[in-house]
Amino acid sequence: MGKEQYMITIKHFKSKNLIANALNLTDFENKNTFKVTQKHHVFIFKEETDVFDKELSLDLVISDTAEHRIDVYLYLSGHQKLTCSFIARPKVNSFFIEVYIKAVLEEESYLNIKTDTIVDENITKGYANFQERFLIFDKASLETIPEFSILPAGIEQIHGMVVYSLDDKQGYYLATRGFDKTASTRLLSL
Amino acid sequence: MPKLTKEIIYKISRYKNEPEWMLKRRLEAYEHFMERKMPDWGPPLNIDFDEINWFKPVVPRPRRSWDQVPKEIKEYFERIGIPKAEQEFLAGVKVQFDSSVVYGSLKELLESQGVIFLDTDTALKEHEELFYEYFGKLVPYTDNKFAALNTAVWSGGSFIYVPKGVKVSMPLHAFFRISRYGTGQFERTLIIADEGSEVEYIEGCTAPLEKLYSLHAAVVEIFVKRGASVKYSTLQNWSKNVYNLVTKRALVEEDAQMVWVDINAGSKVTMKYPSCILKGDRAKGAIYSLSIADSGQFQDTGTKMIHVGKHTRSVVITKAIGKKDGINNYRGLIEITPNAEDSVSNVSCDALLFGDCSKAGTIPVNRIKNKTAKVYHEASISRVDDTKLFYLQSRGFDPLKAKSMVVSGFVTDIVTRLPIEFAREFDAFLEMQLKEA
Repeated sequence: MGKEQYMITIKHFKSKNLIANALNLTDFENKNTFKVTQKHHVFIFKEETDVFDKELSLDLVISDTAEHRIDVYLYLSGHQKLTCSFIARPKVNSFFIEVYIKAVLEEESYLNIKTDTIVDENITKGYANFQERFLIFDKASLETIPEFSILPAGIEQIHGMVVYSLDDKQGYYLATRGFDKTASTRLLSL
Repeated sequence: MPKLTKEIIYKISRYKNEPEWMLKRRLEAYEHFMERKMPDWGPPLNIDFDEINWFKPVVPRPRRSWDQVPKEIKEYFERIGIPKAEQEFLAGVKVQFDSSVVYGSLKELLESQGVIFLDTDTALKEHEELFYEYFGKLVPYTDNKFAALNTAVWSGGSFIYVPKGVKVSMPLHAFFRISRYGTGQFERTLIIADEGSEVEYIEGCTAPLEKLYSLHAAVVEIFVKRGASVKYSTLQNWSKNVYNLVTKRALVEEDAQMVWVDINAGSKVTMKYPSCILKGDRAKGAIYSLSIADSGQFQDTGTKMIHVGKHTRSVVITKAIGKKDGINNYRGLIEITPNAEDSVSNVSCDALLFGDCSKAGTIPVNRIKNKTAKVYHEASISRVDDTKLFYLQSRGFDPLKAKSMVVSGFVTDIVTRLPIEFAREFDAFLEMQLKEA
């Protein structure tokens, strides 16, 4: 089930040709708010340094009633350690936000990720949907806290999370077609 | 009321004529309770510890005639459909639950199989070695402030030991052993299911139980040995002045299975997170939980599933219903430890809210330290769908029936896991709850 949804996302990603508009998460290190203005934002996080320990806290501020979607791609390897949070902070009634987070963790990396929706008292209607997909290799570890703060009845919240491993058959197929392990992993976990 | 002091602990222990090691344990727990701070998370706990009656020796339950039972209580029983014998017991007409015929034959059967089913105080006297081996091993007094309090002043609760390979054919109901007024404020329940055994235990009932105290701090420890199976069902519908703070934990060994069915409809504040430590390979743990929060109620419930063994499985299905300004909160932990190869966990927590004032939240934590783990989590919080209600009403169902049908569909996963005697009453109970929503 998780993989099907994942593939749908990739198709969507390609059809919109959003790679060109992607924003690197490292750009946000010194900021903690991001104004959600476009219908679709893509964040990518990948560091070449083998060892680091970073914290990233991003508040997604929504100020209109458009249907917003945010895709977050995280890739950690080596001894990389990332603690991050994505908090939707709608400022208008009838807000709509979907956040899709995909992460691949390799070697001895560690990811701590928290998601939540926090609203002001005057916000009583809206929709928030967080979907997370995690792929873990080697000795990597993960902690997720997909929190829903206690919110009024008019705000519909949905959360889905899947931690899964790659299908060996798919990896084998790619290997028979000449892809090495790293390349096939990247392909399958996009 | 007296403050909790060492003298009170001595008094409790001496009154019960307990062994020295239990007194020592109580005193250690008391020290820990006094030192430990109140939890800085969860619902607000405005407990006045000076108002608590720490120990009241058990007295015969006060009797009254059926004519003295208030009309509204009788009507409530009738509408829920509780059997007459149970009605009389709950209303205080009978001193003991009128199950002598059923329980008499069950008792003989249990004894012939070597099953021990006693209140915890008696079990300490009659089976001290067994008690010493397991008491406080799964929930030590250092676990949390209220586990410390319970260990210091515990009284009452159930003790069950099922020998190797014995399958108890009938569910053991807490009613079967209650002969005194009330079920206790600081209950301690200990269940040991030896290798290959099976047992089902039921506590609570659909009828509202008036509690004369404001704090209920219980501890339940369950040891599920290799290949054994335990099902523990709770239906809590206490009066809305009670702080219900309960620690429930099971240790599940190789090829064993633990199932919690937990329904919380009463109390002012509930903090309860039945847990499974899936220690053995291929151990399974499941919880099916339903919380109903009405006006002024805060139901903070959830679970912990700790996967330690290989090929372990856990299932968490929780449903919450919010009415008026009631608050539901799911708080859970799924932990896949580094050695838990090929472990799978499925978590689903949904909340259904009535009106604009009720609230719900979820705080699920997932810790995954093994690359072969498969963890699926989904959560949703939504209001009752007006279009569904409209459709049902357009087909001739009155608003209450329409609401009841929508909610019945929402809670099906939980109700089907209830023991048959609860499930029948539960439909009527739910309809009554919805009438006020």
